[in-house]
Amino acid sequence: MTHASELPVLPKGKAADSGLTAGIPREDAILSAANLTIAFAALLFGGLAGLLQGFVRSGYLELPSWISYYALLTAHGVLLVLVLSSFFSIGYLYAGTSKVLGGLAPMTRNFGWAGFALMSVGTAMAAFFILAGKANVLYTFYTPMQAHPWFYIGLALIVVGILLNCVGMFITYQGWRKQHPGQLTPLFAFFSNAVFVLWVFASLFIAVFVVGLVIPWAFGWVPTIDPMIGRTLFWAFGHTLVNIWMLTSISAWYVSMPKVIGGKVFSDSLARVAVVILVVANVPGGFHHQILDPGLSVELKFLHVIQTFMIIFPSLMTAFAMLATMERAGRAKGVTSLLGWWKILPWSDARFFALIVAMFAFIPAGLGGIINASNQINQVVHNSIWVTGHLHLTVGTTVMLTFFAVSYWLIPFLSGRKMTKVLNRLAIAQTIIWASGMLIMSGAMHINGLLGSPRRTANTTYTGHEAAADWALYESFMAIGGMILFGAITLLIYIWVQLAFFAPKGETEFPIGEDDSKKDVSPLFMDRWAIWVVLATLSIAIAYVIPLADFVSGHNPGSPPFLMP
Amino acid sequence: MRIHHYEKLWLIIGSLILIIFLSILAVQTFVLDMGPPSHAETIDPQSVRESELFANTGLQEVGDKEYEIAMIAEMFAFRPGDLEVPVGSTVHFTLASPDVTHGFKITDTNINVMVVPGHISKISHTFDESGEYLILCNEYCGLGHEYMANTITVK
Amino acid sequence: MKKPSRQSVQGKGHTTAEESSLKGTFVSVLILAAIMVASWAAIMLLFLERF
Repeated sequence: MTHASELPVLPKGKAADSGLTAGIPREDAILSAANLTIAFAALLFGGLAGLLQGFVRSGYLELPSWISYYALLTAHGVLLVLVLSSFFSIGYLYAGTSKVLGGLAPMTRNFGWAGFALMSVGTAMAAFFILAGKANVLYTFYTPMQAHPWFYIGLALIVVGILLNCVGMFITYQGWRKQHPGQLTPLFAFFSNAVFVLWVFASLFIAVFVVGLVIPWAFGWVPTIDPMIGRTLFWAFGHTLVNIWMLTSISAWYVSMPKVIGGKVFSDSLARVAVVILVVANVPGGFHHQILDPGLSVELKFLHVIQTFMIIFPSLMTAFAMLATMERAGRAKGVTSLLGWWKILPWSDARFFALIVAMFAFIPAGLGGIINASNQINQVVHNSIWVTGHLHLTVGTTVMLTFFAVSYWLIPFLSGRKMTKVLNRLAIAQTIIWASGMLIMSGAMHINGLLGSPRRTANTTYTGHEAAADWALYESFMAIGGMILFGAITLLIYIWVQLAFFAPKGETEFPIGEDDSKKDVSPLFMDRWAIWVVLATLSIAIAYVIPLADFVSGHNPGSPPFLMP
Repeated sequence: MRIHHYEKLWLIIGSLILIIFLSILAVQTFVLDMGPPSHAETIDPQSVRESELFANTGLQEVGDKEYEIAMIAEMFAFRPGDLEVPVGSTVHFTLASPDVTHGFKITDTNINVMVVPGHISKISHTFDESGEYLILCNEYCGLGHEYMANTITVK
Repeated sequence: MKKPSRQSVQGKGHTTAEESSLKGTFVSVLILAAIMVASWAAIMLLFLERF
């Protein structure tokens, strides 16, 4: 076991990434692998639910009476946006942090396993009640729809498990800082810590909602609940979750992509600035899900729109940094023409190929997000299937392809194996299949959304109304896209099983890029998270104090429960 | 923290674009009164069906080609049912839910508003083109959600 | 990574060489900006058309 204290002394204020051992302590590898296993199972089952939904919505399939379209939809949402993304980000960030900080602290492992256990039990409980038809409330579980009370206990366990993982990460991060006074934490660890800080913010909102309001109401101890408080707390969590995925993904873009293409991190210090802005500005972005809600004034909504727009800024920085990293790598290899560096990128390396396709997907994904957040324009797209298409471009394509790219080095890194040429080729094919499936499906969803088709709605012709007749064509495209995607999932699982158990033994590198502008290191206060947490709390206060105070002041009438089904 | 010349330029251009977007949105919202529906008024969901506001269910002519209607959005229907107005009519919709959260959307228009129990939602639209518009619930509201729809005919 | 000494020298001075070397990046982000304006404007027009 490598303790942080045994590490070679590193130069001051510099990212301490290079020169460490390739592997990580075995205990850390097992913890990471355990988390990844659940994530991959969630992808399989969540993907299967998605495939069936595509068939039902387009009218190709009728479900047996014991399961409803909405149970599948609930399973799809909970398994993919909550279970897959949280288990994957924990497995990946724990492994990477263990690598760059020279092992996790023993206490971190304890917290990690305790969190893993709670999250797994919670997932199993939630999945049971969803499949039993006792929780047809979708992953947003808007009150006053009510599921079986133990479904909410399952969700609460997942959240508490995530919080334990946060504590685990903070112990290792702060322990390293104490043992390395005057040094800046490595960029990867900085990203990890940021993700877990966001997890804390997200978890607190959802914990107050689920544990403080929903569970007492679901067990009947409290007669009514205020749906507006629920929506507000849910989206403070929900939109933070979005940036948890994004931050996890861009950690691979910023830190690993440069090494994969044989270049360097464009600017370590600016990467940290982007991370900090994301953390500070993030939570109020949740309000753009409530632009069409009653009970919030136009002025307040506009304030929220401005706050949501602030989250776009770090993405502008990211776009530049990624392109600059690639251009510099090309220039270092002697390319002189204006855009010639695009050509010599390692397109045939699946790790890079999946990453670059993910980045390209982020262009329409991000632009769609700007449109969604644009106040009155939201009326064109709100709750239409455009939003579903948007979600499949963001988390479904950008985040998922990044996770897949990460898995192509993370799994062999953990299993002590090497990617073969054949697997690499299959992974490239997987990327192409996945991206085309998503392009077809989410493209059709965007178009249908603009034509007025609602999201989260089972197959219906609206008694033959002509507006709904226009949607049928694109619904077929959605089903075709879904089929292609499920094919891609099976291929992916084959690649994962090979990488985990059958690929030839060998050492795989966890790519960690070196900083290109070493003279321009970040000031040490960047590592003082207390500052960023205070600023984030302030930005949350600006957005939330007025509406929440208004809601809890007591003049909102409560709602009794409506059991689903 | 040194920022490359081109990056500075890009961040300025990008921010300017975002500020222009916001300015257009702000002018529309605060000067032209085109902001999103944001009515703030509460109502006890358990009394919606008995309330005076929603007792008179039907289009009320309040001016020249101007109508008001109070609609209940409930599992799984909008009450009253199908509507009919002359071309060029402005309709002011007032909505509330006696049960769960619903969405009120009319295709080919910007009418799109959440109906959250406990609150009254208001939204207006002028129907300049004739046709049969589909009114549908666009927020999942239970196992019969996909049946929650009717029409407004403009002629 | 192989030649850290050479790289760090590059990263230090040579501002002009460095800046000219990011022209491709700048052009690429400008294309991105154009797409951003176009897509936003398209939906804005749809909003106005339906108003």
